[in-house]
Amino acid sequence: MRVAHLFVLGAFMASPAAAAQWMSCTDAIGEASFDYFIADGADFSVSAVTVTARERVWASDPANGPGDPILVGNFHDDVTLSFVDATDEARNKVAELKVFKATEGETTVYGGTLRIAGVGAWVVSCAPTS
Amino acid sequence: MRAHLLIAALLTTTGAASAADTYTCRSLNETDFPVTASFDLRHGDDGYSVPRAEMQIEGDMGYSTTPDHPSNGAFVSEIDVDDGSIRLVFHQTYDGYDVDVAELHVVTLSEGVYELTAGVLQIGGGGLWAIQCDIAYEHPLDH
Repeated sequence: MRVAHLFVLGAFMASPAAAAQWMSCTDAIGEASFDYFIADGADFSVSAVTVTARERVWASDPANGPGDPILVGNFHDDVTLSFVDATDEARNKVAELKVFKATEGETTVYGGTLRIAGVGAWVVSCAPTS
Repeated sequence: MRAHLLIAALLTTTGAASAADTYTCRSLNETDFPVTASFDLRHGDDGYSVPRAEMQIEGDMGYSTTPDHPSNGAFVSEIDVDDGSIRLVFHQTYDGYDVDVAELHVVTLSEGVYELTAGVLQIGGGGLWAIQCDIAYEHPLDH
């Protein structure tokens, strides 16, 4: 019985540290965006990305919108920095997002840069959208 | 005449070696309390230093390292420069106690002819901002 209780307790303690959500990073005038989906789980993991620049769209999952196919590349998240890359099928980098974050209480602010290869670069800020 | 030119060149070169890059930053998004920040980043033989820095919440509090500035008294306690990113931590002394008052973290991205610098600024008790910066470079003459 005690063992069963420990298993239940362990299951609660192993519950995801990060809830699944989309993060949307855009420049000030909405010319470019980089949205990424943080998968449910204890570790930071990005499972989908959608990138736009002017009229162009790239998406890792057609369910998230039409666009040229891309893949989720390298990603990282810690207390001060998040970065996410998107690549083509040959693993060439299509877009890279690098944002710093600052947290005070329950508020977190994200600011950084977005580069889309051969298209341009933008200053972006990010916010969760769901 | 040649000696004068040589001396002038040496003086200019010496001055350039101690020149700093000036970063001028502002809040990225529309906000009720826009913020500005600026600092000089110097890279010398002994590493990086910040001889001047100031930040100001519009119509509100600010911090400065310049002695004759109205918001003087702050100092830069930590400088991390790594792979295009800069992190500065600001302290101020109140009643003999060192207090962490602000932190700035920016990254510079170069893309073709464009260069973008952006990040975040946190002012203790003041707020959080996404910021973007312009850089005025002062290159040594021998570059």
